[in-house]
Amino acid sequence: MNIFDVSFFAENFVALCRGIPLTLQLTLLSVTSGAVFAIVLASFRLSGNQVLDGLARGYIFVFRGTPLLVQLYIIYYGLSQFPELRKSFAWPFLREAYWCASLALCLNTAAYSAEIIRGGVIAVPLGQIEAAKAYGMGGLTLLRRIIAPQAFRLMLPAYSNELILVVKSTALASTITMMEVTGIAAKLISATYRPVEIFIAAGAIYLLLNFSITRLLRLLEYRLSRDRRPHQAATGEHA
Amino acid sequence: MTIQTCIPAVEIARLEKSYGSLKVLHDISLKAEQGEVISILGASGSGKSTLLRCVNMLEVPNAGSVSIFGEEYKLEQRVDQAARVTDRHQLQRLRSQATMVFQSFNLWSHLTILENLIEAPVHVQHRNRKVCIAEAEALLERVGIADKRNAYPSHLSGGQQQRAAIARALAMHPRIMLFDEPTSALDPELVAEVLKVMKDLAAEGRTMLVVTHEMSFARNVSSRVVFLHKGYIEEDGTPAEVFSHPRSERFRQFISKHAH
Amino acid sequence: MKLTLILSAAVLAVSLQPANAADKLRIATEGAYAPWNFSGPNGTLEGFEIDLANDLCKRMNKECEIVAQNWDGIIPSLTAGKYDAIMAGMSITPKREEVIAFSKPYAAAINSFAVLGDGDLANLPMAGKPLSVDSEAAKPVLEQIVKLIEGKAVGVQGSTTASSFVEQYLKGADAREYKTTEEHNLDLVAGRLDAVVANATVLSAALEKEDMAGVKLSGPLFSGKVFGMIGIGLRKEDTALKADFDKAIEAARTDGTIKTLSEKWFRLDVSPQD
Repeated sequence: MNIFDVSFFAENFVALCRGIPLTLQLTLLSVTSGAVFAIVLASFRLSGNQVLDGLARGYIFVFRGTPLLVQLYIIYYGLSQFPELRKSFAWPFLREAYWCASLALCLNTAAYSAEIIRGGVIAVPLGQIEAAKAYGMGGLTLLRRIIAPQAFRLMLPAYSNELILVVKSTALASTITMMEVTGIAAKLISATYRPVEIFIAAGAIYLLLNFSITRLLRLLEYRLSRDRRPHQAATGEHA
Repeated sequence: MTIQTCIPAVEIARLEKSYGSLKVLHDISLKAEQGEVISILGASGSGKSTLLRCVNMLEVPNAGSVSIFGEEYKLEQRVDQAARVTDRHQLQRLRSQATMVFQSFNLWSHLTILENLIEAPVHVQHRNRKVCIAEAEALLERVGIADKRNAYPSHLSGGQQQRAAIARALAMHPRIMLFDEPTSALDPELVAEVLKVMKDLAAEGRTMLVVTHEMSFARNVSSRVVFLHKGYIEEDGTPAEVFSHPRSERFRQFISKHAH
Repeated sequence: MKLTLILSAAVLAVSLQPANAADKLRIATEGAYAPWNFSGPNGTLEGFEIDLANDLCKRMNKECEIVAQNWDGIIPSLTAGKYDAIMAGMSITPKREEVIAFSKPYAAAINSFAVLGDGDLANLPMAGKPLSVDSEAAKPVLEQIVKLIEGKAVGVQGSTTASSFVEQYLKGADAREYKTTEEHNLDLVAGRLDAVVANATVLSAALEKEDMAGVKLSGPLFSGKVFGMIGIGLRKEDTALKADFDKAIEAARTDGTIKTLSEKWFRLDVSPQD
């Protein structure tokens, strides 16, 4: 037996690729729902209302301060211990490992993203907000036209980091029977007792996924930062 | 001499403003007739910027009233609490009639110069976008930066940015313009280009309230000069009156310090 | 496997003490696999394999000492000479046979279904009866079970013989892999699973817990090649010792000692059949 068998690696790489759709689904589902929840949390934090701020702070403290694996287990194994819950409307969802994993990832990423969004909003220069107010903008128009576009661009680097973390975190779904990339890897290893090639193949898949995500976000960042580049580059496309 | 035939553009009556226990404006009453160009002078900390910001409620006075063309801002003023504006629709309407030009320009950095000009007309005043663009181009032409229409604020010099900011204010069709130290953040060689634009506006008969340190502007362009000291108005008159016969000793010192 | 070899060599290199000066036989067990072997309330080792080890030693006329050893290092320490034999519920597999030798089996690995008492699979055929999946008699029974279990969620512990069994014999089932048997038991109670397959001795021990009320064993007690047999792990060079153990095991099997001990600890017979 070789230390590293290339054809065995290639064969398992293909097998692991079958887990990519599930990995991507979990990522997409938790990132979109997590972003919506994060906006709510961030607006609580920025509301100036002490009760709402306190609620959001508490939530963020708990979900950032505990391991995702623990959250996942509490949602999957913990909640199912209550017969009342098993009879409730939520059970058809919580019964499925798929929704439990998405929920845990969503709640977790929301806590981190809320702080990223808040940081982005705070970083918008106050003078520009004041100018908008002085020109009659208020409420939603101010948020939509002035604050959101700038905050979005300011938070993008930190948020791409968070996205990468979510992609990697989906691997934990394998602990609750999900057959995503890591789940399939674990199964292949137990059948072959050859962890080296299989884990390297799994690692390569995550690397490829994250590489594509980073590239996409960098392109977006480039498009949104025309004002930070010299004037010439602003008019032409240098992608 | 002014004749009281029309409604004053701005009328400030018995205005007071404090930050906590610190009172920065005491019992200020000031009337700006239509077409008047008033320079507001004063040392830093005299309350001149705060007074200007009270005109469009970027600061809400704790007592007294402010009216724009006879319409008084609806305010809730209580002794023990921060004052606040109660009618947001009125606030937005009055604000777009009295637009502000800031010391540090405050152009929106994510929008091009042209987009900066049409932003409020299109999204606050809901005017036709095409018409706004045509107007904005004419305004940029007028302040001499037509070639910068597609550039972003960070690509412009300070003087160009301030001219763009003035054009942005003009795009609102304001009846009153408020200038908050518009040349203080500029390098000396860029001051003249901004002052020239302001002089042209004054010549058109627009009502202007200008907080400034530019004595030449106050003396030669404005129709009236107001001097603030520690939250009180100490001088109020035509440039000829106040500069040749200052009544206040402090204003005399102030002129000699700024005359160079 | 390579890793195990390298590890064994490393352990050997640093611990070349003689195993035992006297004629004392040292037997390692895990001490954490109830009711096969475990630490009793006062810290002494107890269980089916402890009783059996003592019986075998008596038959071989040897003085024995039973020691506890972590599962992870249990094979390398044997090859390094820290003890002479392993009795720790260890299945005889070709992979392990590359490194160590095994005595003849002293127990069969018996697997079974556990299901909810009120579920669809509560009454699988041949309840509580032994059945070798390799025998002719197993074919109609397995066919019946396959039909009943089609599309049902079945939990197994990953990398176990139970998961191989489900994969090979119950193809229509929705098989789900767990890290531990506790986890699939929780999901069975929660209603996420219709059945689990695991070692029957481990399952029946788990069923005594209060949380598992409502869960019961169902269908036959499976044995066969796929589940493997349990044997004593020995160094390859100790051929004389292997011969002694083989003889003793055969004697304990034929006179019914293994069956008696098995029923005492498991309430079912795990003695190897021919």
